[in-house]
Amino acid sequence: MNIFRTFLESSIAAQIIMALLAIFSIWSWAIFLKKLFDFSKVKKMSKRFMSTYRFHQHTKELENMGPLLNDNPYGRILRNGVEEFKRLKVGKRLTAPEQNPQSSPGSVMEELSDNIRLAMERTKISELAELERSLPTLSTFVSVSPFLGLLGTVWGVMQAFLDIRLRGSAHITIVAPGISDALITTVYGLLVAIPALIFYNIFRTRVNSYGAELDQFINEVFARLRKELLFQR
Amino acid sequence: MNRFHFISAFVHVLLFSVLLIASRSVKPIPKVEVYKVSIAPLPQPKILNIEEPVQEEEIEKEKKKEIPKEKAPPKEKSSPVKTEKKKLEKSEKIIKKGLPDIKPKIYTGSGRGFTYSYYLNILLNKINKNWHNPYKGKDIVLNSTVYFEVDKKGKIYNVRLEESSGDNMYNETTIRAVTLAKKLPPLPKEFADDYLKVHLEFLTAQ
Repeated sequence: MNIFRTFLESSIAAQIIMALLAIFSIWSWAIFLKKLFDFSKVKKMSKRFMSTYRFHQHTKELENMGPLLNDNPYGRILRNGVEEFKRLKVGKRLTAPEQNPQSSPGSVMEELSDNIRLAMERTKISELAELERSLPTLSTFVSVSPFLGLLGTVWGVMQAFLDIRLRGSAHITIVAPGISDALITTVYGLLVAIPALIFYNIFRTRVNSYGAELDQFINEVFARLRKELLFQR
Repeated sequence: MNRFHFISAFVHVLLFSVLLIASRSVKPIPKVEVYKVSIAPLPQPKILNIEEPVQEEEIEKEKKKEIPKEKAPPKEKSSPVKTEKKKLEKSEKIIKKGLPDIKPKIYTGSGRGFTYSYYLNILLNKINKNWHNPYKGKDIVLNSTVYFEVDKKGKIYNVRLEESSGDNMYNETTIRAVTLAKKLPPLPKEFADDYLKVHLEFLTAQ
């Protein structure tokens, strides 16, 4: 089967559909490559961050991690959490017990400590959104490509039947080319959709597992900062 | 558009090129000669189960048999003399109405029946295309029989005039029609004999 001859000999509608499917295919593979690159980069950076993070026991040390706080999601989450922690600490000093005799400073701080978690959660959401970018496009290709192929098939079959009507003969030589053209678009549609679906599932799973890892990290950092905020002076 | 799009496009072009080269290296499917077979318009040819070709007397009797109808059974034995005359009259009427004017009598080498009507249709179509009846449309009734054999590969050989019409030009056209056909499709694989004997009767028809 000569693919170019098949392309050239098919009808205009089938050619347009095949061209669209080719664009979809190029696009989905580009997304796949980009995501593969992004994830490997994030994984590498995160690994480097975690190996350093384990050796920093104090909050002040965490601030001195330098570029590691900016080049990966873990670092950015930690940075925002620490910044919120510092703000609360400053506020704690300002609201000394003697200035505010009615309220218990411990309970207020406990409530406010949740802000640290919220700050880190916000960062996590934006980080995941960044990793999830282009996945909806991939999902669209997965859904649209088979339908586009099907459209080409229906169109081709319709043409084949029109030919039968015009020539007044249902001979195989009249029907077969139309049906062949028709089926090739479905094949292309599936060839685009199947890899795109595989890519989508791979990255969706990775994003979900990465989200779970970030949640775990947030809990760990939050517990540490909260303890420091409430019980240390 | 980023570099990944370019990489992806490049990969696609590469893939298509490989497919193109692969498809070119594949041996093309040999062209098969297509013989159009129309089952409806042609009458079923008369098929006989006679081991040896009939003698002249028998051929004369055969001539008097009716032109086979569309739904005529393939195996038909000679009918009584009285009915033959009536049938002969009928056949003349049919001929005048302009029905196909080639009438084959088929014999197999072993005497088994040749039941492949599609093959006979091809045979008749091909010969009919080559035959230019010089008396077409004229009120002249001529009848000549040409004998030939078809081997397993479909090659026609041993063509000879079996029965003259009395008109040399007419005879020549009939022999020429068969000779020009040269090659037919191979005999059906299911057909066990080595060759097929055909007695083809050419009739002028108005």
